[in-house]
Amino acid sequence: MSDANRPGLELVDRHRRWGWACLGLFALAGLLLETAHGFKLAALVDHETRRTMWRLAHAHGALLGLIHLAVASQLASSADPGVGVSRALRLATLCLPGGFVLGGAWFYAGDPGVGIALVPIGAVALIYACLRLAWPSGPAS
Amino acid sequence: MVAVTSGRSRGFLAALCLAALALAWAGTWTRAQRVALVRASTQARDAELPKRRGEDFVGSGRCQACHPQAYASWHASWHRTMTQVAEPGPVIGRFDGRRLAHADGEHAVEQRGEEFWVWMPDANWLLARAELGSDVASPGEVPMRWQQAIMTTGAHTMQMYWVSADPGRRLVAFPFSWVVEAQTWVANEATLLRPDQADVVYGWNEVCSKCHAVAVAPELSATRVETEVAELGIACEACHGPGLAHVERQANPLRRYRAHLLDQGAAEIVHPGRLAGKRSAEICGQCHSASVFADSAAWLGRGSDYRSGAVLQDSTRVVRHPLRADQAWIDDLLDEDPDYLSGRFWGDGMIRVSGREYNGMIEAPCFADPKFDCTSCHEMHGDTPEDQLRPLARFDGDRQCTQCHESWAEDSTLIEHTRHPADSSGSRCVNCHMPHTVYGLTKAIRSHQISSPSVDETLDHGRPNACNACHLDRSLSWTASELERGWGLSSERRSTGSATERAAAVDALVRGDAGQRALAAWAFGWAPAQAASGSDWMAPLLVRALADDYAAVRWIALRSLRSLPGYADLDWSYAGALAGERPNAAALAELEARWPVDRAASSNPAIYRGTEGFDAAAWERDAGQRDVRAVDLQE
Repeated sequence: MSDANRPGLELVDRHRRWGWACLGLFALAGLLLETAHGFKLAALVDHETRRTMWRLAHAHGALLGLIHLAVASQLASSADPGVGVSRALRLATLCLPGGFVLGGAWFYAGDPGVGIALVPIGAVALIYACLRLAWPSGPAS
Repeated sequence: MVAVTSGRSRGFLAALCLAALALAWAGTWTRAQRVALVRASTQARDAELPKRRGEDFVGSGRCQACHPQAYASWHASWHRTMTQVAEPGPVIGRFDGRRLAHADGEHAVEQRGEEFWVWMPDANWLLARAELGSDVASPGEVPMRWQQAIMTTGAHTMQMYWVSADPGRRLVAFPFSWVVEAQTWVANEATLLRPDQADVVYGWNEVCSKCHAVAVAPELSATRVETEVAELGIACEACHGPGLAHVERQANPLRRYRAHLLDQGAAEIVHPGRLAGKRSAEICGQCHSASVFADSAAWLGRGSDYRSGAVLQDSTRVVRHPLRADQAWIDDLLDEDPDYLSGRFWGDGMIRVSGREYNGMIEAPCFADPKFDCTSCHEMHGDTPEDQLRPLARFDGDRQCTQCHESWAEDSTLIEHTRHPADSSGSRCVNCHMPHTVYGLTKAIRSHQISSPSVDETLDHGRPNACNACHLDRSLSWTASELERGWGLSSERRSTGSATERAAAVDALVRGDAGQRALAAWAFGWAPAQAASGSDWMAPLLVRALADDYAAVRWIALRSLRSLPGYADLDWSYAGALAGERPNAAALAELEARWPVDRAASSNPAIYRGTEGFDAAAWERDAGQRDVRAVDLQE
């Protein structure tokens, strides 16, 4: 791998920061959810839709944190997959858990709130990033 | 030597493995046998239960996914448990092998695994006897046998059990019910206000099914019974209508979110809160009314045409008393059932049996207000199943009334109107305008025909007026004077006005008919009435009511007696709700002896208080004038 294709340290650091920040943030979210369950807070336990949405936000956020760390590790020793991948991954990190959080904050009976519309956007961005990381120069490579 | 030992070890190990394998096979085989037995039992039971009616109905399970909160509140309601499959969980009665005395011979209950069995007369034989009206000479001739209870009715105050009969899916009641408050078995007849009739048979398909399941099609013919229901119990589609079109259309998320964002109700399902006029009240009225079908033959086939949101009278005839409305078909109804009105209405047309609240409501002045309907006070998806009252009707004084009648919301105007302290039960709107004049489920229930108290309703029709339903120790003359003095309501008729006039509630308990006695006996146990009237004089009257000819009156009297000091430990068997249980004179005398006679109290003929305690001679004299005409209330 030529130095020209090596990603900048700034990009690696960025994903490392996003990764640890995500893990910390969504571990904290998990702690809050556990506390709410423990004290049987009606705002959470009485609403199945909210419980599901926020549980998904916690899981997706933590998982995306791990993905950022994995990407940082990969970028340190492999070719730059392109600036779009990093942007897509960060977009997914905002949209996936964010959509679930908003979907659970305001909801309609069994349907999550309109914030859930962010989730498919984040999902597409994440899939794009995964494919580009797997095949930096396209599937033929 | 080593080789021999190794061989023995190997042999031992092999034997151990084989034994373990055999044990595992035996366990699996036993388990498989048990599963097969349970499956066969379930299949046999399902073949006798009402079958599932498909068509446009989907069942509550489909509603849960999208409406979890509404589903949860419904699931906690007594509507849901009205009809259930008899299996562990839904069954609350104790099937513990006990034997139950009955005129047809001893009955029994027992549990076999997950099945519930009852020893009772053959269900087909019971139906034949009811049809032919033949008397059975002796209990020995009754064909008793074990039959499986496959379905239940109720879970709140009592639970009934149903066994199957031929042909097809016909269901007949086990003659005993489990009563929740007493945690005991009671003869079905004893839970109803009617003269003793040992040979009554209750059929589910033609009577109870109408309101205890969703969209019933009785499918009753002389040769076959193939009853279908959309769902057992009173479930979502009883009030919201068939859900299939709604479920299919709302599967599209874009359509759902459009409806959410524009706050539009889905067009394919009925939302009672969005219905115009009185349509929402009619949804409740489809069951909570005294009503008949124009075409009873059609009803016995595919059931009622009524679906939520439709005009009720297009399919259902809500019976109003002839004094209240002209209904051309009422004569035909009375030709068929001459006792229809007397079994359901007071003489002035006010409904007197429970579960018919719609009849009361449509006669109330409030019903003229287009905003007024059942949901003014009730909610179906609230946080408590008890009476399903809105919070404003539970916790907020008189808000259910003052939300419209705003002028009575202030204490000053309230006191001026009620002539009672603002925080007393006498200042609660419902205690004067919705008194307990309705009978059902061995208790008195509030009238839903909002009215004002008068002595005439008592004198003319025997109905307890609100004043005397609380002031149990006061006479009608006193009430007439108070109503005139406090509210300017004069009555030309003032009862006797004599010094020896009995208190109205006491008189109803002693000389009234069975319906009046039941309501009076209940009022004696009502805490606000005890607070207003004192309760230290009630015991002798209630003890004597335990000898009443009507089991329901005895039951209510016992409940009220148990609320008095010194009587809380009384066994429910004192009500004599099972054959052979009725207490004898000595037992009643022992109960009365518990009453602490207050010798210092002045005599008061209104409540049979003489100088030496209870005036038993006067009571005997009055009880001899009791109205013993048969009362059979069709709750």
